Amino acid sequence: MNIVRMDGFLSSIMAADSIIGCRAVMHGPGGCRTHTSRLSATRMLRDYEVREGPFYFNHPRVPCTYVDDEDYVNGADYKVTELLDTVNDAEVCVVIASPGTSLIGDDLNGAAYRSSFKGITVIPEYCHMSEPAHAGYDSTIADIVKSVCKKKPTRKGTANILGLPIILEGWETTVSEFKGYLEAMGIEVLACVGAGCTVDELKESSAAEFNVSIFKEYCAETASEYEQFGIKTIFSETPIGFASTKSWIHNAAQFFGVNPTPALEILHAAEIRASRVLKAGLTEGFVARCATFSVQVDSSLVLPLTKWLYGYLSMFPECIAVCDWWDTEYRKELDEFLASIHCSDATSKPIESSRCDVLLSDGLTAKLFEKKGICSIGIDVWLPSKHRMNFVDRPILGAKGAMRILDDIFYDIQRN
Amino acid sequence: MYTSRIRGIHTIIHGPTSCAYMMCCNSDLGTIHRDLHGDKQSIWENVSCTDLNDSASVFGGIDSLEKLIRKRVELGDEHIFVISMCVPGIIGDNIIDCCSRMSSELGVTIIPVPVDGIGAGGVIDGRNFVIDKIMEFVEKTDEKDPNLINILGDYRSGREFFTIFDKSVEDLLSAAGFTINTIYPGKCTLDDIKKMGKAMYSVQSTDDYTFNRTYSSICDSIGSIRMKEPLPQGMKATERWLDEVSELTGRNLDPVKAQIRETYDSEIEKIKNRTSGRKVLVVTRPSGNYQWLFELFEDLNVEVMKTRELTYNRWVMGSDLSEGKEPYVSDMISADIDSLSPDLVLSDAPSDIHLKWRCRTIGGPHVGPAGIIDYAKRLGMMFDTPVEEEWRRIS
Repeated sequence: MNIVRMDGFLSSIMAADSIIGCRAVMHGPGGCRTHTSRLSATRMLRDYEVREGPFYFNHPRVPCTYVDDEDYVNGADYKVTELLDTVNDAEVCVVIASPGTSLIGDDLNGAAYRSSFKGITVIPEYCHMSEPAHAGYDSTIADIVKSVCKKKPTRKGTANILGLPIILEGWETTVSEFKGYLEAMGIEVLACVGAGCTVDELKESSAAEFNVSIFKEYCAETASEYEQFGIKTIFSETPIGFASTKSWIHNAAQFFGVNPTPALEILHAAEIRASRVLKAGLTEGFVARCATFSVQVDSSLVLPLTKWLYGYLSMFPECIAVCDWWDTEYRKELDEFLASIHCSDATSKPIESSRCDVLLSDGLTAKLFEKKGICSIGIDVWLPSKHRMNFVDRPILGAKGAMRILDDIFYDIQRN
Repeated sequence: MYTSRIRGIHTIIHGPTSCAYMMCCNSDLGTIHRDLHGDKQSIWENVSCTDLNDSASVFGGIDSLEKLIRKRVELGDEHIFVISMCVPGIIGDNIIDCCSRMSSELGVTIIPVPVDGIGAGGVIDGRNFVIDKIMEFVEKTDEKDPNLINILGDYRSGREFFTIFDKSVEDLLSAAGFTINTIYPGKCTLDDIKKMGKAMYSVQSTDDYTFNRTYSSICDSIGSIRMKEPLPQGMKATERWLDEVSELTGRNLDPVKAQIRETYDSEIEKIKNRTSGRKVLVVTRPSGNYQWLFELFEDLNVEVMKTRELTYNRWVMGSDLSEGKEPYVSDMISADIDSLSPDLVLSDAPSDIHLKWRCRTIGGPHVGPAGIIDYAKRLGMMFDTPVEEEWRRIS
């Protein structure tokens, strides 16, 4: 199977739309716009007026220059100017060039200069086509930080949350949960950068004492940008499951020199509930024991997820799809863990080659494998996923994410 | 989209990952969620991508293409389409030479489709380009079977709800004396494509200006008679379609018509209490055929107060037809609402869905007799909906 993953070009558009008051503006063909404007609308809920006419064509998200074949020959930076002229509902515009237009040498800086748009225009240097999603997301957020933020005096006891992309299922709930942990420890959160902060919050973010990261790979470049303002970033293991969330809280508390207990108590309440649910029946709580799971997600949550499902439920990994971009240290840690539970072969076979009880993957693969009988339960934890209206958030990180995953696993697991 | 639905053909998208990602995600609704092929395959099993990155922009992407073609052939693919996106078009990758060279070397069929993303024009140009290539697989024959019919396009929808209406279409075809030969692009294998020439007749599944040209050229190339009437949307269209079948084949289909008419009239009668004497404003797409809608209004005793037409899109309608046309804006229909006070606005303008009035998208009924009855029921209910639902009033 050739499972296609979202690349850095598409994620950079999502990154630009992740900040309230900031707009992604696409310089490219209409075909590049359709998917992202829909995705942006469902992942980043906000009220926009419907816009008719050129650049928008009735969809408010990700206005686009609708470059055509002749523009590839003659250039079309004038379209960028005209498009920017129409933007009256944003403080920041990020002009994202499509893979094609990134090659034709349009003068985007000049186009922005000539436009009447009053706010800040950010022009990322790279298109990030075919790079992993995190590369485009992180780089775009870093570009926005660079353009918007100015050095400010440090406000003690404040933090920014970095590395939580809006392409993550249930990101709003995750923001709220992790902000809650920090606030419980007396740390004020200035901005969730790249996850629903406003432009004003972003401007204030350069006063933070520390940044705390969620997904390391989604904020490496952004963290470097903040270092220019003297702000260090606290990197922890991606907090999926109770144990790594606990470790995330401890890590943050240690850097700030605060007592982690109030945050741990919040986490513990969820842990207690999960434990009581599992203990409620005679044998139901044990049905996942020795059940198998496979994981295919384009992120660093693979290792903590694998460790959690093993340690918490005694589940065993069947197949783990390896990402090309993982560094050797991460890969080594994963291999050592798998070897310790005699599952070294999990990374050496294609994900579809072996049946498992639970698959945690993108939504489409999860559905497909369920239909094919390759897994009993397919849990949708990543994009691409079916476009649907999400009234109830379905997070994957933190305690709430753990409860959701447990809920999905135990809803239909067949083992006993 | 027009190659990936054919089982037995592998499609290589020569371009960045994002191109493949967007296409596959959009198609997977039909393939995974409804499994239109009935083989539990995802589009991802039939499509792969050369994942061109910045280095390809400097050094070219042909090496990546060659590597992927070799891999696909090793995996057993014998028929491969290579479709180029904007990036290889701009950097000048010569996929025609590459495909020809690899085809000779590996002994498999590798067909280049150098549309270069938008380089070859809009969606219709791209579609025609690829369909021309696919039609080259059709085996020419003078032996035409009058009982076989090709369906051009797919009357089945990716939305699971519509599954219940498919049988209505299949029953209609069967009652008219036809057996489906090939559904393209829809549920078909390469063998189904090859045998398209055996069917004496072809019928298109939708009546849309842009598809009419495409399907006309398919029929020309396979030597089959293209029915003037597409698969019918609406009662009168069903009768016209059956009349055309009678005319073409000499079959007496009056009993079939009478039976369908009886069911239809009885169902419409039940809906009229909601619709009789009600008034509508209508906004249509220039490329669509809405005859079925106006015939339905007549049957339901609905008065059409005014019609408007959406902006002509030059990508869809061509520059000649679009020249000098007045652009449509939502304010026009808002003014009509103020002056005419219709009971309902039916509009295919996406912006009109947000009008502060009782408004629904026209869309269209599923083809076949059951589809129009379902549509009529929903239309009837629409007249009795609140002018604006509660959720729309929250800001």
